[in-house]
Amino acid sequence: MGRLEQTISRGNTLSAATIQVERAGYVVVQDLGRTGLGAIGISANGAGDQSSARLANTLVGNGDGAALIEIIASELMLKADSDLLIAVTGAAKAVEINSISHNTHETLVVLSGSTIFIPAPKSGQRTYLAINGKIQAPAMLGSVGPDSLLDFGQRLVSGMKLEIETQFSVGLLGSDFSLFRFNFPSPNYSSEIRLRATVGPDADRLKAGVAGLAGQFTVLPQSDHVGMRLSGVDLDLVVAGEILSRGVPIGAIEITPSGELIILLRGRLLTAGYPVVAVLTRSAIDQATQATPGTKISLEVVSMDVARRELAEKEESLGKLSLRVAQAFSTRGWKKLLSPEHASFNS
Amino acid sequence: MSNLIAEHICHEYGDSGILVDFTSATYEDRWQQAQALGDALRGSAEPGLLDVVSTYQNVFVSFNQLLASHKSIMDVIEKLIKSKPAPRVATVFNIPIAYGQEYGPHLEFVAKTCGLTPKQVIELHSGEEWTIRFIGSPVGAPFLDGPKIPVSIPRLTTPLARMIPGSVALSGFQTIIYNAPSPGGWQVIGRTPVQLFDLNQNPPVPYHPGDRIRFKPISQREWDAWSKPFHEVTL
Repeated sequence: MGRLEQTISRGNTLSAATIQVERAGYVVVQDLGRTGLGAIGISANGAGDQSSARLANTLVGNGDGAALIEIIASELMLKADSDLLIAVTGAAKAVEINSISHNTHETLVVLSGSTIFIPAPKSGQRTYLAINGKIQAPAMLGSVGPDSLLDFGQRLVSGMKLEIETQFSVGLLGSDFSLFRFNFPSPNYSSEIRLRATVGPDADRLKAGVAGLAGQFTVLPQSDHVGMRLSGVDLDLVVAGEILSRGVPIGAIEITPSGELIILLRGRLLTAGYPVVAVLTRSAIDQATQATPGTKISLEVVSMDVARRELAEKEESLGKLSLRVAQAFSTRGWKKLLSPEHASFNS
Repeated sequence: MSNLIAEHICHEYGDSGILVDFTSATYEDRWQQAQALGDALRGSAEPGLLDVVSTYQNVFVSFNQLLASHKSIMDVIEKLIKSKPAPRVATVFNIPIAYGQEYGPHLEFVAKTCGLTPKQVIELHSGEEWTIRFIGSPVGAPFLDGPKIPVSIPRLTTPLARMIPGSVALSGFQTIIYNAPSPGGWQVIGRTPVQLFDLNQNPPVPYHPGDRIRFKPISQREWDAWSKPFHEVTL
């Protein structure tokens, strides 16, 4: 306890906390991306699994769009040089703090000097680590997230230091060391998933209409943040013909001339000329970005009403969680740790 | 353009998007109507609007479902189309370009495909103003109609991993300019030393759809005179 008391005496003013990167696989500083720049041909990019990223930030009192760490199909080991309040969401099943395993999808306290280890996920692709405060990282066009076309982004490499402007310190804990139990459900990533989609404008390019999307598709290894490639449909079932280039939504399911299916993800170009037979719902897009190569995907075509309702329910559940987080922070006298952008202020 | 309200169809496109398809009789009308609606939407300050991408005959709109809905955005679209927004006044940009050789490694291929000499391709390409039909990916690329060549140009069989910024390239009967070191599959016939995409400017590209570009061939000496070629500028 000696070290803890020492930490407490440091006080709790706004300070630049630092973390050191000890080991990093494919890890980047990320946020929700650049929206609204489609008219000048800038892709959205940002966290692949947006809802997991928003959840992580919400759990630590940050605004949804705060910078956080995205770990893609690999591991991350950090050493905290300051006290931190963190949350891990997405694919990782546990986070080890000084070799003690903790739950993901919870708010966790990390004491200065601790080692944080996030193992590579056994299933799923993307893990998010949010830290209370503001990760210092250069932004371009309003986002810290990588854009390969702009040649921009910050990848974490071993030996690197990250600075975080935070008001958190263990001194704030007082004698109440009991932590949080928000029990927000942590997702399961299976090797067979069902993705919801609405009918696209070119569904008639399939001879059977959207019914032509029945059956299972396999995620191919050539998939990336621009598009997820799926084993295709029988070309005999496709009506050929060009489509004039036009804007496409993230989640659009295109059929290429060779009959391959591509699900466009957040790095998609703004316009495309392949027929779009269906569009994933927003939460299905998040699910899709967690699918590893080899995953079997079946598509469930739903009405727009169902899709809208699903979206509203998702928002509502995140809003409710944000209120519980805000309440828990206030009860502990941590109100100042809540960002003015925290989702609880809009819920 | 006629005085009638532009014929169009609105589709719900995904759970937070809308696609407007203009169906007027002529290519030029459809394109102008799409561009005018795009501009009007971007200028509307309608809450919840995220992206507005207007192309040849379509406008794609994405919105934040917490602040807007398919219905609220479609209502705005109908209102704006009824107001018959006027097209922008066009600006003409003169863009210097070095054709061929190291600047345009695929000029020979393009010429051969058309049954022309490289010089004839250059004359066709630099002989007229080309209209910017829309701005797209990658990174603010202007999509131009032209040059008027006899044969449609195929894309590269293997796309280049990294285009040199400023590369001017053809595909089909169209030209684009690559502003950033992105991958690309079009045939590069020349390069401009001008940096068109500049993050210190708002907006980062100076041109709008409807503006026109005229390519001005420059010599090696003129190329060298550009003090800071775009390809040496780090984005």
